[in-house]
Amino acid sequence: MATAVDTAASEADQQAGLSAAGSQYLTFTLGEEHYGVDILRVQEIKGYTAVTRIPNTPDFIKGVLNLRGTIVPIVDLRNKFGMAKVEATMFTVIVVVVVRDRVMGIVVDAVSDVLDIATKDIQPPPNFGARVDTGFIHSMAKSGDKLITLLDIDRVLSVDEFEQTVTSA
Amino acid sequence: MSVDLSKFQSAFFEESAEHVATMEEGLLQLEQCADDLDLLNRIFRAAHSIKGNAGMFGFAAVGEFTHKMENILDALRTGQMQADKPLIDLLLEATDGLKGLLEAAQTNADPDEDVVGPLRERLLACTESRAVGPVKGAPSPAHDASPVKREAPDEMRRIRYEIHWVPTPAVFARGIHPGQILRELRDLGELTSSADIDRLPPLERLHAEGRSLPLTCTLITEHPRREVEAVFLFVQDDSELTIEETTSSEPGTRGRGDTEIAASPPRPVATAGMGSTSDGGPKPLGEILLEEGVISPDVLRHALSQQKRLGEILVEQKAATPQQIAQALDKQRKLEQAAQPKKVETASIRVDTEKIDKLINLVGELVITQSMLSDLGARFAMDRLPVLQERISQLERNTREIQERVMAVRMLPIGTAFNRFPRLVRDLAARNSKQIQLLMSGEETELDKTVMESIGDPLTHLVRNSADHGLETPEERRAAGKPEQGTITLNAFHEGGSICIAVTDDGRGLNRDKILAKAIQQGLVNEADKLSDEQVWPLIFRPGFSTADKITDVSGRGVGMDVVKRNIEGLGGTVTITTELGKGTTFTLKLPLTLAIIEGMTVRVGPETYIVPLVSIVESIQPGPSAVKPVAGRGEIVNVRGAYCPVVRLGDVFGVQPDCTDPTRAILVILETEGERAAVMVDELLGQQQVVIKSLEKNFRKVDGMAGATILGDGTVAFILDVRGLLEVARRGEVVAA
Repeated sequence: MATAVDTAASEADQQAGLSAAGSQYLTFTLGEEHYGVDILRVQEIKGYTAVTRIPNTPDFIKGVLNLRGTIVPIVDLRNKFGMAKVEATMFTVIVVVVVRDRVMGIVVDAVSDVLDIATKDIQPPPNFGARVDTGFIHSMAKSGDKLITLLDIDRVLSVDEFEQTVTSA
Repeated sequence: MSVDLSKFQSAFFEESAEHVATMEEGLLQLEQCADDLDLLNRIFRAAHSIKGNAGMFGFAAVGEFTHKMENILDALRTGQMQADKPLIDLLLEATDGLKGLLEAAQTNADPDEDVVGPLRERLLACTESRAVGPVKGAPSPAHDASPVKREAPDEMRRIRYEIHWVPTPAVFARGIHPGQILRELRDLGELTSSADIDRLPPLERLHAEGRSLPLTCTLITEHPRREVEAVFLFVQDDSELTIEETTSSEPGTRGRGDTEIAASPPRPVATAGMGSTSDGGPKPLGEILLEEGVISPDVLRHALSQQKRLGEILVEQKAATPQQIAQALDKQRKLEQAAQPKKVETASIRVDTEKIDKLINLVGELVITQSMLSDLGARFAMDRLPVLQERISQLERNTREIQERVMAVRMLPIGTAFNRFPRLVRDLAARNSKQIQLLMSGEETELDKTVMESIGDPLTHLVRNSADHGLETPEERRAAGKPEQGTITLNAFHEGGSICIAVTDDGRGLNRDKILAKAIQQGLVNEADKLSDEQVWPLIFRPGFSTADKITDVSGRGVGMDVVKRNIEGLGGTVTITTELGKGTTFTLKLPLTLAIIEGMTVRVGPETYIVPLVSIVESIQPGPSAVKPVAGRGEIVNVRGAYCPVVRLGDVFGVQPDCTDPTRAILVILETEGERAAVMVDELLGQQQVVIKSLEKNFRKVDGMAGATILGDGTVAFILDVRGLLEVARRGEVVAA
């Protein structure tokens, strides 16, 4: 990665009165789509392993995993976003993120890169109308010729949503 | 320089809670022996510590309230007051008030003035009006030194004290700063102090912890001598100290030495601590103007409210957009939320250092074993296999021992849970006009902290039940030929892998006929049933079942014995009753030593593995061809030696495809909880093992029918069944496929 460009970008950020922190994103793919989450929210990246299914939970919750002694729920992002189911490949990974004070994992097709994204390259989410729920899309960013959807991870893995499933179950 | 005190605040609250407990305990003992000076000193020291610490941490209300209590305690100590029942009552109520204040301080809430206000008044009234002459025989060391009378504020006499104090290294070793002592003196009156630097060794021989500077202070104060002495309470044993009284009320001449240490006007005691914490930093302008009387607080508040917020200014200057400000504010709010501790309640444990030392040694051994193993792994050859096996068994030993030790860290003597009962029994006795003696044994028996926290309420309920329903009134007891004073005994002991706690009273015992009559009346049993005693006694655990003729405000209303039983069973424990009419009743609680590890049966349903807590399992059977019968086409029941119980197909409940759909080929595990039985159908029993319970709620949420999760030997997660919840899920009849 060209460091000169990076420095220039972060300098520009600082001139704009914004800190350079938080502008690094871990990007990953789901099918053909590129997504990103704030790197500061990522605890670790873990190879995909089988999980223990939890009864009485919605489909997108794949189950729980033993992360060095801690029980961590795993969310299937494809399922959550209503995308087609695929078999796990050798690239399939679990991105362990921190949501509020909880640790959770998301299953993604493959991680791509850690990108510095300048604030000027970030745009608010487009308006898809009522047909597409964009609540968990924080913003859109372009990097090279790729369009990256930056996720609001708190909304993707909303704790409330977990709780709601209890009452509806 | 500013010190972040908040880090130490939790320690303060913890310590204060201990001091309050010491005070309460001491006051209760004081009732028996009112002249015990050691006891009085202990209570006084506890109060004094709270006051001092509260001042240091800026909890002025706590400090000021404790100060009022301290005044009375001090008067007791010096024999100016006598510890009679009304006074002890007042002091006990005051400790309750103090607890409330501490809680309020901890949660940043406003203290309940309705409670604290009147108490404060009463404490003050007590110090002013109840001052009596010195009690004969009671030692009063301060008495001969200065003529003591309860001085009314207007007739206070200013006394001049010459104080020579040489703190020894021991004082410093205990972390006491002489400056703190000087500050306390300064709070009492006008203080001039100086240090005799001539006696200092030359610089090259000066040692930081060596012999310290002799200090000479002149204090002019209205406070009596014992208050001056009280300042040195914690250092007098480790110091050379003389306090001489010179009656002159003239302002003191400057100290003899060269270096003046402290000389500032006295400040009111109540705010002293607050002032001393905010050291150094410049004061806000408003505060200075306020102090100098230039402006009034209202004016200041008004002026401050007119200040524009930073965000508004930035927007006006077009330095930022409102959206950006809103985002930043949002971020700030989130940060604040994140910074807030989740629970105010402190969840810390004070552990015997010996336990920690042992643990550290063991971890050291573990590290050595680990390095031996990695060394072996780096240059491994087949002929070294026996060495490897030996190392691995060493690792196993280490792990097991560390596990045991770590568990021991969580173990606390049960005495901490028993502490509340002397007070409770005293209050109950007073309210019911009964005479009750409380005996406790086995206080040193250790119990896991989580279990301890959960048994407090059930135990309280049982003790209340004994005091309220079990024990008779003095008249009844006399008529029955018993001593007027009833006895409640609390006894804790280990039995096998469990801890037992017995609550015994020598009261009237349970009345079989009365219980039966009530049960028949409520339709719980049939008149024709021939019930054994063992079947009759547990009837009192039924919800809404009370044999008390009248409901008192203490027990019998609201929560009943059913709650006790449910709580104890929730902990995986049992309650048993032994009783004899006219002789008394014993409730015995039997609890697992820890909640973190349970004995479980591993069962398999299709591809899934579950853990069934062993305490709930009655037996496991493979039913014969005719034993399982469908009921109304919706459920099945199984005949287990004449008793029918419903069959719960675990695979159906959890949406798992089982290997066996035919009950006669599967295994039925008969579970019992709260007197209810069910046969849970599984494919296979895998074996019995101890499992460590892991919380599901920490990162996820409660799952119906699951008590938690555990990690199996291969690293995968398996769920532990919550038998009660499982039966409820099964009863709702929902087939829930995930």
